[in-house]
Amino acid sequence: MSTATERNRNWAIWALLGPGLVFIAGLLLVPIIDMTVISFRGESFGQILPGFTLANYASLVRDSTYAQIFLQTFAAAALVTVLCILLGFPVASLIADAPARWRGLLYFLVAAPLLVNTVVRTYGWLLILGRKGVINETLTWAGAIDQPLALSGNYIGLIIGGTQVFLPFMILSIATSLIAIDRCLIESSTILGAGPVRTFLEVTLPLAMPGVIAGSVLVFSLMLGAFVTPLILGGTAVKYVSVAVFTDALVLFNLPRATALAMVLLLAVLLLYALQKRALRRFEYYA
Amino acid sequence: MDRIKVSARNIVKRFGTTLAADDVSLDIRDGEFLTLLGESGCGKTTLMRIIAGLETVDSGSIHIDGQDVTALSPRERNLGMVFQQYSLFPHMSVAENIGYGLRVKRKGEQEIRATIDEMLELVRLPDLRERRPAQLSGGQQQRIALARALATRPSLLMLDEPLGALDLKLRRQLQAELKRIHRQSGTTFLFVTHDQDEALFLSDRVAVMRAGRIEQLDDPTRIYCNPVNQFVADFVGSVTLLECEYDAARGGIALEGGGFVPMPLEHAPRRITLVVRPENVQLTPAGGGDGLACKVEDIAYQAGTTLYTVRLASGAALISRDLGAPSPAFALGGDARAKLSNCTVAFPHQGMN
Amino acid sequence: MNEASTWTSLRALAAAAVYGFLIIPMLVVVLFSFSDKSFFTFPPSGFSLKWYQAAWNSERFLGPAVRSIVLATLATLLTVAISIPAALALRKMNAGRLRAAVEFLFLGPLIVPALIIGIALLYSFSKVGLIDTFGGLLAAHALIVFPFVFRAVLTSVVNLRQHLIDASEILGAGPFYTFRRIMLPSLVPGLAAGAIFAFIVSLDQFTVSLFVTQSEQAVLPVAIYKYLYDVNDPVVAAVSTVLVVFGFAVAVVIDRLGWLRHLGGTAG
Repeated sequence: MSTATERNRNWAIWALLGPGLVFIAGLLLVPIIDMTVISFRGESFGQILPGFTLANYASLVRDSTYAQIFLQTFAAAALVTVLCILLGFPVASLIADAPARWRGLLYFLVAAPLLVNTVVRTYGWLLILGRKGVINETLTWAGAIDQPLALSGNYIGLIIGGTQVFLPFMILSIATSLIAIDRCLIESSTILGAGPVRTFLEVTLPLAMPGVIAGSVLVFSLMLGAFVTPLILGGTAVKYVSVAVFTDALVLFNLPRATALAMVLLLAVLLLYALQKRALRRFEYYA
Repeated sequence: MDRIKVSARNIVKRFGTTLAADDVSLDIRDGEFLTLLGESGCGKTTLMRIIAGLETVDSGSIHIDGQDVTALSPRERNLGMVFQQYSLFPHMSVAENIGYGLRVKRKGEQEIRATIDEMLELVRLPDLRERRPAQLSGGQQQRIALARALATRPSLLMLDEPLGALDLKLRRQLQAELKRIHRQSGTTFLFVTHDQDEALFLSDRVAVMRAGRIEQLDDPTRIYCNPVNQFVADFVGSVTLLECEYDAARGGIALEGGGFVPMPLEHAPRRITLVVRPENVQLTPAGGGDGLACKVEDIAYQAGTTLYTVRLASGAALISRDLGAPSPAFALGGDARAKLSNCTVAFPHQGMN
Repeated sequence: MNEASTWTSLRALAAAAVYGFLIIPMLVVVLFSFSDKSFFTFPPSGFSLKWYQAAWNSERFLGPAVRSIVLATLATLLTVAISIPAALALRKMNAGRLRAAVEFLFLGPLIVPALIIGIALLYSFSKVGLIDTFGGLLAAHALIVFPFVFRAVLTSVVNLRQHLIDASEILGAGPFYTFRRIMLPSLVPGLAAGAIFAFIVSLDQFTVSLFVTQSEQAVLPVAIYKYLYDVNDPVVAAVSTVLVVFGFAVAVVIDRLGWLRHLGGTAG
């Protein structure tokens, strides 16, 4: 290839990339950089002060409420992730073993809820978990309880709602890994004398790990940054990072502290993805 | 009399409307190398998988070492299997792969290690103990798969087209290895392939299958020289089957359209089928001499051998194989004479061995 | 065989329970929308379509619904226009660090949580006065929706068969002509799937919309949320049911186009 064609090609590439780069840079990179800058600014009566200060970050570390917020958020994300693995594995396994005819439908029922608004999906839980919701009404009618259970507006509702919202991601991720497992490996294990439990633990599970890891990172980071679910199902009892950001920004008008919180969240998510790359490298068997 | 190691009796298996096994019976002798030979869809893999217990039967029974195992699951039958895709567990080392079946049986550490060493010696790959399958070549993976299957000392080792994924040269090497390993281990081998050269080279006996039935079960020589019908004859090598009359008085075969092949036979019925292979046909220039009059239809040269296709007056086509380059004596479209020698005769068989 | 089949039955049972868990909340909302009482009762009582009537007539929903649809359409068109040249550029680039970095950048809005995008845009938009404007909202939605369209277009573009393009050039066609006649038709299925994805993601988008709008530019999810906290009657259930049905309908369309698997790597 002559240098003229090479130069033409490069020019074409940058010309084509131009709009996209400007778009992303202007709407994503610049705002995030701005946000980072703001997190180091002071605040007074809703006005952002010039200058550099670490006060926002300092207050995150010193203030015990923030410690609680972080703890509860991370704990919720971890709990939801574990629940998604436990609940998601049977479904993913079913999909992977299903004959082609049924697989489409099984996939569909898992993926379709993702296209429904999160507010709507969470609203359903309000109706189920509320004081006069489905569960309480049924249990009262059956005589199992006298007082309605507090299942919503607290941690329990948050975990249940969060699990349901993010479960499809875990299922799809694990299913992809399971489907990639060669049937002959399972048959080999059976012929060599292993029962279903042993085959699962020694062959299926290790080979499904990439899917479990990818799914876990995805669900964990989604739950960390979740906003709708804690907002609607968490109520005042639950302290969540995203809700605190919202409150700081739009209720207390303390933008710098809100952005400091947001920065911590962003760093946590980015760290997670970096760790995922390393974790997945251990499992590159088929290379 | 050889002991029967594995016996399949009257196996019938349907997949939907397809009959994959049509009342098939097969006795595998202790220590032998038996190959199921056929094209895709003939039922050979199904039969093997039924013996393994990976497929259920609609009717029929499987006996191993005299025991009825039809109702047993694969893990209870103490068998070994090697797949075309090797199927080594990618997340385990070679040693862990080989030791898998032994760990399942809860054998002791010492015994497991000793067996792994023994197996690696058998397949001649002692240095690969700690490697992962992804680091091995195709041929190495296949040998480790063999080692893994043999480690549990199975009653029967089944191989489902294990060399199909390898290139020609490697395949030849591994065929020789397989033969050696079979001899050395003394295990009964059941081999499935569609490659007739492979089948004839490796096996003590070959079962040629078609549409869920065994057409002929015999040692390789008899399969080649005494095919029981057109299908078997055609399947293994190129062949022309000539229907002729045996003339007991003259001690030979009278061919249609004239020509006589001296071939004294005992107990030959009047109508017999002559099996004519390319190496049985020699061309001589036209004019005089014995041999059948024919016309040269095609001349093909294949790395050291020339194949002549000639057509007899009766309309039958013969292929003649000659070493060396095409002879100037024979021209495309010209005349020649075909001499037949050492042909064999196809007799119908009385049941299977 | 027996042990295996016990596990298989157990698994089927567990999977069925999980499927129920996934679907039931939406089912409850749908049932509620047909109730004849204005508060939630269980078991459901009566059957009535009056809430749908009310929703249709309600200015709290009709306006935002229209706005959401217009917004989704425009955001989709905008991102399609930007994605195509971007994907074509990536296709031309040699594989390597630069290309991976650009790809990563374009998929950025997927990785960064919606909350972060929300607050970052809140500040940036307030600096230039774009808060609570349609333009700002459009820009925000285009950003969120961009990775979905881009990914679909990129997959299609990468699968373009070079020899067809070469043949076109050898026959004398210029780059624009080749693009219009040869490349574009092959891109249409992927484009369509990406566009449909984008449309529904925009329609469903709540978090960022909440941050960059106040009272003027309400979008449908925000309107639903606000209604939930003021009143809690079946009107919102009716609107929600429409969204559920719409979501499933779109899922069917995407499934037919063969792109349903790709939902696995999306952010909410």
